[in-house]
Amino acid sequence: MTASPAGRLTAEAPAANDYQPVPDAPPAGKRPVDGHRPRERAAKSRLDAWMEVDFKFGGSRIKRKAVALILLGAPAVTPLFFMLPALITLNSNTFSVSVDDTLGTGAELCLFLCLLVTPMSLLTGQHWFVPLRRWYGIMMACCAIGDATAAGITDDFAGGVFGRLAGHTFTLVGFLMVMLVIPLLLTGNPWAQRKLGRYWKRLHRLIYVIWALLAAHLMLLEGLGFQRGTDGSGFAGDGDPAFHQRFYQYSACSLFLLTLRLPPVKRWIVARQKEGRNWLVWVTIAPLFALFLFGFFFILNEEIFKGIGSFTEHPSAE
Amino acid sequence: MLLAGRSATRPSTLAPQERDDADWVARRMVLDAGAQAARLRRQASVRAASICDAAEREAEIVWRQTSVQAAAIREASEREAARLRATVMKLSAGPGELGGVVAPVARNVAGSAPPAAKPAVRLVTRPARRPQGAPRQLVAARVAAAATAALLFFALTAATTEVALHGFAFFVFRSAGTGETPSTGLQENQGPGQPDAPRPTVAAHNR
Repeated sequence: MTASPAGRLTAEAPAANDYQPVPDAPPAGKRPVDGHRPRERAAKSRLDAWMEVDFKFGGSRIKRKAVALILLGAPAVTPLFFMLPALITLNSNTFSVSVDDTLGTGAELCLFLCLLVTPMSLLTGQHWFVPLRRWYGIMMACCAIGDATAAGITDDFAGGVFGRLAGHTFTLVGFLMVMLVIPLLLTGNPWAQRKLGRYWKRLHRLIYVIWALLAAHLMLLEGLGFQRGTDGSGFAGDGDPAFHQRFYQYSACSLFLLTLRLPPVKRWIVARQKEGRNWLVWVTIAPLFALFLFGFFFILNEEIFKGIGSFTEHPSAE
Repeated sequence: MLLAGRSATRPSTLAPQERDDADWVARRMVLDAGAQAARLRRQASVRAASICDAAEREAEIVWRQTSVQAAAIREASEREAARLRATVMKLSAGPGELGGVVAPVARNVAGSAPPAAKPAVRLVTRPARRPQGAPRQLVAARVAAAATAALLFFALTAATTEVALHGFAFFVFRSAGTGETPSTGLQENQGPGQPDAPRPTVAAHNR
């Protein structure tokens, strides 16, 4: 008596060791019983399905997707974490010196990550990481509001809180961004999504306005030059002044994100994917993606450099 | 047979002349039967273990396939629900009696209410009515838009006040260094060719 390939016990007596389990995928050409069949490509469904599988951890079952989302989402808290010691000790020096750099740059990073989710979903055909878009958006809003609050209280511009927030061109643009991000933060939950219905998406397209305003904010903040002072972002220790200029970092990142949002480009990508030539898509967008990564790593480097200074309460002057 | 084979291969220590033949054969049979039973028990336990392993593997696979199928079904039903909701909303926005008839259904669907317990026939027989006021979603959207506009207006008012107080030139220009990070921390000027670049040590020079 042994197990048949289907796992049933039979009366025959072949060797039990040659047991072969049923294959992982359903047999070719056979539809699932319920009649529903995912239309995704094989690669997508494979990884998405892999992410849907749960595993045992401490007596409970956890989905792999949940672990991956936590691991990918946790770094978004880092900018706030960097400012925590200064907040606990009420260190006004750290706040006035580096809160703009730490929280402002953190908000910029979170915005780019939030905007990156859709193009990556289009390129890879996977959807398991889409929930990160909301998380990065929320963290972007928190960093931006924290930046504005701290700047309004501790900055050295003339005037009161509103003088500091709206007294100059670049601060006004930043203030407008924060004002726009507040409704997005308040409606970034399933309840508001239900209440607003189809208008929710329309409202949340304000993120593109914020994206555009960020360009104006950075341009007005540092100009287009590379020098130190009001016309640049400081010394470039590695001899690469262009990518230490925040506006150019922004441009490098935005070019990729913007290109992949253009309808003809999206149509072209979808057509190539349907033809099964996804490699062509990747080859074509590789230079833009490399530029994005290049700019992003410079921003990330700045965030880590300034953030560690803030965390140790020895803020950097760069 | 096995018994015969065994007895043929193993030299017997008992002399058949000294023992009763029947007794000797019976003892040998009991011994061989015991050995055979032990062997069968071992084989059965090995087979049982392999069947258990196989069943566990199979259960894992079935679990995985079921979760995949469930996800697909959930996704398909969500898509279907969204499509139905869109259709009903479109119908409710339509002109004439049809719009009035479908409007209550549309309100239910838009509010993500559970499907109406009463059949649709009942709704058709109800007198056609125009929906009272704007749909709830539109009201919520108007509130959100008004709040956003108020926030923007607040920011622009603050800026206008600042311009009125300090003048346009102050708003546009700032003196060098204003708003810049004050230089109280480390300075990154230790790169090659920069003022604080590390100099070669004497020991390194003499080496």
